[in-house]
Amino acid sequence: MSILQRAARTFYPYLWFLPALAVIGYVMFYPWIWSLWFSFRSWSLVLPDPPRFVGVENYVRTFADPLFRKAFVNSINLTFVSVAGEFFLGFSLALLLNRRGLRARKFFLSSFVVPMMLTPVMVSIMWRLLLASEGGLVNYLMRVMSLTPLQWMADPSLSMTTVCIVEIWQNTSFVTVILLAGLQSLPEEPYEAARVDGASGTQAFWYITLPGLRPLIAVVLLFRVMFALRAFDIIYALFGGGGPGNSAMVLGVYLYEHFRVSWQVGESAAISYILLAITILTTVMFLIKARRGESVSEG
Amino acid sequence: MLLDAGERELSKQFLSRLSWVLTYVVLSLSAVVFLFPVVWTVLTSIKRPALAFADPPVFLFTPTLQSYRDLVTGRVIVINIWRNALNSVVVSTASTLISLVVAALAAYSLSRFRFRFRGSISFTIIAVRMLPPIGMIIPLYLLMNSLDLLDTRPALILSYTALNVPFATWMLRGFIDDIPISLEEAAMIDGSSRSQVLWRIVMPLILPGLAATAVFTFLLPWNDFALALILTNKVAPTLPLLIMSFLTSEGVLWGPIAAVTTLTIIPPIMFVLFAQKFLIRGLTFGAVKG
Repeated sequence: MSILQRAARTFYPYLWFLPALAVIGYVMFYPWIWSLWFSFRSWSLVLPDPPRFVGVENYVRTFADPLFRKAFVNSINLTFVSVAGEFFLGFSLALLLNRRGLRARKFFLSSFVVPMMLTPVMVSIMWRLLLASEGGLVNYLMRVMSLTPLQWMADPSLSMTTVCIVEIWQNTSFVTVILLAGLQSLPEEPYEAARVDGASGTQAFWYITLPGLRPLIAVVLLFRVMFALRAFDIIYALFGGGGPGNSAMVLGVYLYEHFRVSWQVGESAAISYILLAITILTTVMFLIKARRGESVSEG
Repeated sequence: MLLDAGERELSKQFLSRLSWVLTYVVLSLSAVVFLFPVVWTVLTSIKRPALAFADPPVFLFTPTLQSYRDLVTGRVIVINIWRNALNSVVVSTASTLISLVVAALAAYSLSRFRFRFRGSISFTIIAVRMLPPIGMIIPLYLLMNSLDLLDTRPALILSYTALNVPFATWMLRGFIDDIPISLEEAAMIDGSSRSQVLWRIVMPLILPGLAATAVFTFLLPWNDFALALILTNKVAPTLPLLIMSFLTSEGVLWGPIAAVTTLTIIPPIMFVLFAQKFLIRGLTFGAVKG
């Protein structure tokens, strides 16, 4: 085979890959590198001055901003509460759906799947309709049950709760679908052996089901955490910003509003990178914990 | 209190029945909770506009399409629904088609060919897939600004395609892995080229998986808000952006708002109704097999 032929043989697979690489490279990687460059400079899109090198000033200024810190705390809280809620509810539903001999499983599963497929901003609109102080069904039902209706949208102390409710409503089914598939693919033998040995249902769950699902649980939690940290659509559509008195300010909204108001590319790029760093750090911490848990259970 | 064998058997049966009753109750309640907001919104959209926001809420009413008519004629609320709807349809469809083609090529090569950076490319794909759009707004704005493509449909199509390709490649690769190579080898011995093999043999065989991938690839642009918000303004906004006109008016016009919401969620609901089997298989496929 000539050199040319051998070269063609080596490069042939990459050719198939070229369109995908070109698109991802040009639209994702290249702008990200560009943003990194900008994050160390000051450049306003509305002023005629060219970009000016400022070192880490953008990063420092962001960390010093009390609104950023509030957004950070809110995001962490939101992630924690909503992912925990989604996990426990989703897992319970998956366990119920997995019961042998359950009728209408497809019907239940299909109705559970609906929320996660819907447009997030439209989900927020639906909930605004339900939670409105006047004409909202939720407050009406509360009054009917002799409870004092709450200002879901206007009360600063309630705004994050409202966000959590909507987030959990939309995303629980993601957990359910994935864990149900995992449950249904678990092998039968360990359970039969356990039954023969006289193990109870709870013991079987703890020692067979959970370890068997561990990798899937890790994947599901990871996905949800990453998306919850960057939640934007639902919150912005609920409040048009950071909520009453910025009580519902989260990292995604902070980034967007900062850019929209200041048109400062440098500062906004720095915020994007901080957001990316937070996400990567959380992911890494997560994977380490998951990996360590794995070796413990196998040991 | 000791029970005899008969009593023990009865109490076991009772507990078992009870647990089944509870199971169905919980599942049914959950179904109601998950479906009710959607149902309520659709109902609101077919009430007479004045009733839509009545306090206390109205449960019995004669349905009417007045809110939809108001939307279209722009009588009560002035929003350009045709423009946004058209943009959504065009952008979502175009991005889906392009993404599927690009991803099919990439997925096939990842599945069938052995080449040096295969592992790291796979990893990059999974890593990239995990970035929700909001993190991309600054980089993408810079890119589209420099290309003078702000507020255009191609800007959206390009962005969504870049976001969709990693996920689509990952899904399709899993499905292609399941097809035995022998079919392709037989075809190639008979003289087919690789690309003929891909399009004429492999793709038809993974049709369910392809359909599932297509659904998710379509829904990403259809449901996206953050990117469309930053990249578009007057010419190319998509359906989700219509809520910007709602955010300012504080819920006075719930009828037309509910109508827009209902229209926007039609594709997702249709996909759930008609493609459930594909969807569930597609969603769980990658996760379960890793």
